[in-house]
Amino acid sequence: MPKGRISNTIRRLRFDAGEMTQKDLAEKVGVTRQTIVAIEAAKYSPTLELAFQIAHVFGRPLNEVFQWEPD
Amino acid sequence: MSWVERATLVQALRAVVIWLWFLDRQRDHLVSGALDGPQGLTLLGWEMLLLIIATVVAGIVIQIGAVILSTATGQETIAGLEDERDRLIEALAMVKGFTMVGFGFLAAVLALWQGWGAVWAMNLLLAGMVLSDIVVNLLKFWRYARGD
Repeated sequence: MPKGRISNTIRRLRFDAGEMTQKDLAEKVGVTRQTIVAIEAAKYSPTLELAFQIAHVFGRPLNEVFQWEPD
Repeated sequence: MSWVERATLVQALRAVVIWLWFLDRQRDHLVSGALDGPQGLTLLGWEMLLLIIATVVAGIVIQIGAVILSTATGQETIAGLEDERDRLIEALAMVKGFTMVGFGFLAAVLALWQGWGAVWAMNLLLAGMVLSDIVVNLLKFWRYARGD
């Protein structure tokens, strides 16, 4: 099964949301700022629950926030 | 260096320093012959208890000290807030840590089989546990530093 890569549009969505800071987003979803940094940089793939929470903060469907690209 | 990186690195150093202190005490006991015979195991038991107490107390003091220092310097801390990424990093490091404990146990069993005596076997078991503590903290530091 191909492993693929999960990318995201969180940086742009934060910008669209009035330059929401990583700290603000982290507080809204109950994680540390470092976790948001790692997710944005695609170094850490969040659990499905956290991914849904992040999408919910921006009021977007999950596939607009996270994308999976096969290798 | 972030707060969590510094805290895990200091915890690894804490394990090294306390273990060296323990080994230094063991060396003195070995030279004096205090670890020989059945009384030796009683002494070793007390020494291991001291090691555990020192480890726990130092761990708590370092954690509190790191929070106070970070707060005083205006640096962000995540004390009291642990999320899924922290738990994953901890779990991945613990897997390697358990391997070290396993090696320590195996070494202790082999030492007993070779007739090294219970004191040496206990020390090998303990070495595996301390090395596990060091490895876990260093792996956590490495993952946090990489930004995983």
